Amino acid sequence: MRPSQAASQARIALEHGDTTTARETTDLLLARFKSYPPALMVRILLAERASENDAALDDLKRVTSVEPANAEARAIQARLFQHRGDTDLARDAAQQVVDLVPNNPQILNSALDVLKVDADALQTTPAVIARIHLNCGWPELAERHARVAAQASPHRVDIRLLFAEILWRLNHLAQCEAECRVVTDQAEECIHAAVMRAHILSERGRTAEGQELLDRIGDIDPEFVEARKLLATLEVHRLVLPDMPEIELPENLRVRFENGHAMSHDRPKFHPPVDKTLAAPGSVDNDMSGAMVPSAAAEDNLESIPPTLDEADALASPPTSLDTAKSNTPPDSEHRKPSTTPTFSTLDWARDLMSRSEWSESEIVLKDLLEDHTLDTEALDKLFLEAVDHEPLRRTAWKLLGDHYMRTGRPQAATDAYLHASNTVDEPQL
Amino acid sequence: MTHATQLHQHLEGIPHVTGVVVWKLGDAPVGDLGSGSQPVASGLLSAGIGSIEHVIESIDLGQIEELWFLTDTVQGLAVRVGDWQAVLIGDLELDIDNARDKVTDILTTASHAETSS
Repeated sequence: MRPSQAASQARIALEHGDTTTARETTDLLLARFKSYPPALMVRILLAERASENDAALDDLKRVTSVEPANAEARAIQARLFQHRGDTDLARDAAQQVVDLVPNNPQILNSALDVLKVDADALQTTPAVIARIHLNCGWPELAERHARVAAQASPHRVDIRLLFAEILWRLNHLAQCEAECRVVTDQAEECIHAAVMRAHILSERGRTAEGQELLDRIGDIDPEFVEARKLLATLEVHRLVLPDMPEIELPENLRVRFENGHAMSHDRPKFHPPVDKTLAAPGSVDNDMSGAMVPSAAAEDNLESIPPTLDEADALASPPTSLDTAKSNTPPDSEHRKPSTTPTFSTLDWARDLMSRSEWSESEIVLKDLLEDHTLDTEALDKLFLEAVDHEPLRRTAWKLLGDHYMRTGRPQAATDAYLHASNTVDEPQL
Repeated sequence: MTHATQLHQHLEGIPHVTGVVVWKLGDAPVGDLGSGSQPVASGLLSAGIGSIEHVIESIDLGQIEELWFLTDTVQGLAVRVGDWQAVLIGDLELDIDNARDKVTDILTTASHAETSS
């Protein structure tokens, strides 16, 4: 059986509530391919289901290092961050999901749920436009937008990888290689960047090195899915895709797969979110495909240090894990520094009042904060979004959030917030 | 310094006007749409009109200066002059041409006052 088939079976088993089969299959796959993303994703979902959030987040770091454009992984990250109260990280991860333009509406809805906006209130960013253009096969149009996006957010590895792919498709190989180096500085095991680099090496007459790099990708992506996808866009190349491996399943697993999980039909369906704030309107669990973003643009904003664009520096950067064929630990920089503003204490005060259920005082402070034009916009966004989670404050908080959005020139988002307030008015008040 | 509340008072005085919302770009809307409407109705309407403006601008059709709408019970007029915007709701007897001139005058005065101060 192919690894992808086994991973798919594990996924189906999990959806049917057969966690034993899912876990055994996952363990088997990861024993042989320790960073195989589909297997890791199943393990992540298992961990999430068991409320082992730290374990899930650790695995998510590995997945996003390998596949920065994995929207499902980002969506799960957003849920888990939100669950443990890291609102900033949750919103960042959710925003990345949105920027990845996922095909699966459940994944998008999961992110929108964290962001607390409707799809029509989202702003179209240069990164989104670039990705759509690339997906449509228009790299020339995509380039300018990706360049703008990369300049605006140099720390966003997803955008850098998107830009790298666009350059690669435009045959700007030197620039692409530099961008790939920047990407691998942050996402060491990024398959997509490695494939492009392997191709570039072969184009420069270093085919053996390129082939060696490509072969090593097989440790992570044994079926070379990403490589096939990317190289298929070329008319001709010098690389040889290795044969796809098969894995031997233990008899008990094989029998269970052959029976098609017949025993599991009466088991509960898999519903990972554990509470309303975590629950995606549609859970993302049904979408496992790495091809939800057909272009290979990557998604990972783990690091906060803006990488240099200088090609010489990039080319001189140290070898990545794929270069050295050694296992690695993804960079331990998931947490960004908390943003602080001069008025942090005031915001904190509002949070403190809310935590103590002093709703009248909270409302007064929130209204005062709205009048303070010196406050950081994002900090206020976050505070009001936290406030709407409190039932007694919900109507007022949505209204204030709408006012805040209007103040900051976001009428579409304001409309959404006011509508929420309006709907809250219509509901029976507790 | 012009305050939205002052403009609101002036605009409310126009005959047959039943609700007024006014705001300056970068401020929250001030006003109400008359008795019986929800507390957030004024914000919702102004935000909705702001969204229409964004749409029109984003497809390169320019910047909206006036909008008029008619329902089976009311007329609505939105006017923008510089940074100031106002939305009026009036009954079916409202003379929309006259109202538009008055609103434009009031907002132009406010806009000039802002510029000169």
